Amino acid sequence: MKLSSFMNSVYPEGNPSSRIKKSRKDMIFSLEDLADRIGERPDRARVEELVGGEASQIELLLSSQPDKRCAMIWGYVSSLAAERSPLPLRLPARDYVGLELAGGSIILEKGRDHVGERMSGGRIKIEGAAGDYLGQEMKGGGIVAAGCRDYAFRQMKGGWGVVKGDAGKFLGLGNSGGRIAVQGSCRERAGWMMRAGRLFVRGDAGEYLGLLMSGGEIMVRGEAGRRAGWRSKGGRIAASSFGPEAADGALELG
Amino acid sequence: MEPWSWASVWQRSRRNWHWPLLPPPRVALQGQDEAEQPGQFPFRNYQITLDRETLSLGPLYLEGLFDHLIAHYIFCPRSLDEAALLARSALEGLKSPDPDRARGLVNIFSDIVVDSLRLEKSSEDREKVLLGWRRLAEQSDLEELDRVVLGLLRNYWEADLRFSDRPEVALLERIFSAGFRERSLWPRQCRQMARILEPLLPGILGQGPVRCQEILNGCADAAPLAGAENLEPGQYTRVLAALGLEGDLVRWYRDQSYSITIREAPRSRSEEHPSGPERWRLTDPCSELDAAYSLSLSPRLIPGVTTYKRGREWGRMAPLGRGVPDLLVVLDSSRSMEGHRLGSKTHRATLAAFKACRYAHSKGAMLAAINFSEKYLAVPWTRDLSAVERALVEFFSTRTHIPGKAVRDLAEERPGCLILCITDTHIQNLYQEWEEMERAARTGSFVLFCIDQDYKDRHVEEALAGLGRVYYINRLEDLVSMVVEVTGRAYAGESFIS
Repeated sequence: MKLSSFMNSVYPEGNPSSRIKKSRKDMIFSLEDLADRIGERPDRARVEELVGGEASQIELLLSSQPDKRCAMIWGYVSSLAAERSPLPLRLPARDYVGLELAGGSIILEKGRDHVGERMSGGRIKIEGAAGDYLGQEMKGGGIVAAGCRDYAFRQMKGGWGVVKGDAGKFLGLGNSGGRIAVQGSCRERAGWMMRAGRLFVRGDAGEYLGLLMSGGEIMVRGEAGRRAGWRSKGGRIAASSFGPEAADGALELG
Repeated sequence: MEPWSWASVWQRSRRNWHWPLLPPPRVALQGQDEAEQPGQFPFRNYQITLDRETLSLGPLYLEGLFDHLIAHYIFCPRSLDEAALLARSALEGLKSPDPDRARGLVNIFSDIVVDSLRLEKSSEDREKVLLGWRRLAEQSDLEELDRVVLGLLRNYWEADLRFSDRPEVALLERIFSAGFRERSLWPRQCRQMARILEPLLPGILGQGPVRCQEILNGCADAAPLAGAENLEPGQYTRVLAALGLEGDLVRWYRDQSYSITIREAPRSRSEEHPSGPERWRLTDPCSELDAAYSLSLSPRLIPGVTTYKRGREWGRMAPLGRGVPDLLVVLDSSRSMEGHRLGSKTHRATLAAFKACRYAHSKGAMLAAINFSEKYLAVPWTRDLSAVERALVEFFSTRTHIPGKAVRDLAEERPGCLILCITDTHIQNLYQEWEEMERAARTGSFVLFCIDQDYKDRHVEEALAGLGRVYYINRLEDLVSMVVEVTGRAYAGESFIS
């Protein structure tokens, strides 16, 4: 006989005198506990399954300060919270906010790294500047940020991104879709290995604009740095003026 | 007021818990008499020990204490394995893992669990359970940790206890509101409790040893610890330290090797054996006639009528006993073997060697071992398994020089012995020692396990094949099962030694 069945037979459960508070058994105690249960490779489905629909649980998880191990999981929880919230959700500045977001809206005062990564729907508005990897691998939805650092909208497949200020290096690296608009300037290697999609820069662009690009459209209203379109195999680059060694097909706007 | 004795209270508590098999408590004398307790073991862990102060608190308090202790020994943590699991969880939850703090947390966790069980399952026990906690709450030197735990119990049990309104109380309540009976939840709950309570440690609560049956019975040092295969040596030592035990590499490997099973192939022999009497006929040889038996049944021998012989049948019988080969283990502990950590070459090789030695020892074989790197450590033929194990866990971490002469000397002492050599074959002096190795291989049965397939050299491979059986291990995980299989075949199944 198992010990548990022995204990249950001796002291049957459901004693009316019991005054011990109970709730559901599969609850999550904290973000670290959720990370322990998920293991080393978190994915959205597993997080969704474990977190469930309880609002208080999501609130508790969102209120905790994630360490490096829990950062991605916190990102998934932020997306779940935004999708379930009828109003735009205001969140603190953390890494991976809106990871794989599918709907809803998030407002951030300031952005950290990996904001809106792999998102497929919804909106993210960053009132301050974002960190690295803004909107990386995004497939849908839209992001508005006051500025961003390097690798913004890397390997973008769909959706749109607006940067109201300046963008860092490697903007739109390896994109195969989507639209990016930068109202300020961007640094070097924007549109590197771009295959499809559109990139618009109102200010200037750094050197190697559209490096090795094979498709898509880049338009720079200001000046493009040297070697624009270097070794490009397709696509279209237009700028008001180009630096030295620009590719032959680069179109100079009047 | 009726007179009472602690022995009758103990019996009452045991009856409450359906007579668990636990040693009776003993009263610890204090002062000068402490050392003199005639007829008693001096070991405190064989008994539940009471002191005079506890006895002075009255029978109800004592019964509550006994109930609490019994619940520890039969419910939580109950066994050494469960206690180790909780200690590991507590250590994982602590930012700075410390065995003493982990022990305290395991005790606090198991105290809450067992008293919740008592409280939930019997309304009569409520007063007894709360008596002990109220006594704690009245103490003047309570720490913040104790106040937080009391605050939890106040909310969780709806009990009238002094409380703390710190935010940790709500977090702890969340942990225990998931229930306390589900053993699979305990590690998570204990880990989370450690995370919450770490900044508040230490307190009055949680002191003393972890209460589990093996520790109570004094056999915790010899009991194998399940789950050792998932712990790094350092973690393993800390878990054992939290339980008040000493852990070392030998015990780490030993505990892992318990769970590896060697499947013994059933063997039998078919042989003729005598059965009941059968009729002897004229066509049968005269030598088969059992005259004495036939005459005992009839005074006249009439062939085919009153003549009998012993019948014989063929059938499967238990195998004859046969000698087992002694075992010489030659283990490489050079730098390229990577050292003692989970999943390393040294780990797999030593674990395989441990299992082989333990199995051969159980079959009555004598053991010898050589652990080599640039220098070597040799254990001559012995039945002392511990001595061999101690030699095998040494890690020299220098170059790979096989001591051919030492191998040959030991092999020649026991002709026909089984020589298991486990190495990653980066042997730098193989050709200098070749003759010695050849002679050793001729004396016994040489089985070589080469771990590093990538460094396989065609010439060396051909040369080694001449020594005996050579196994090239592509995946390190296969090493243990290969060694176990070879050992199993040598000692239990059909021998591959021709």
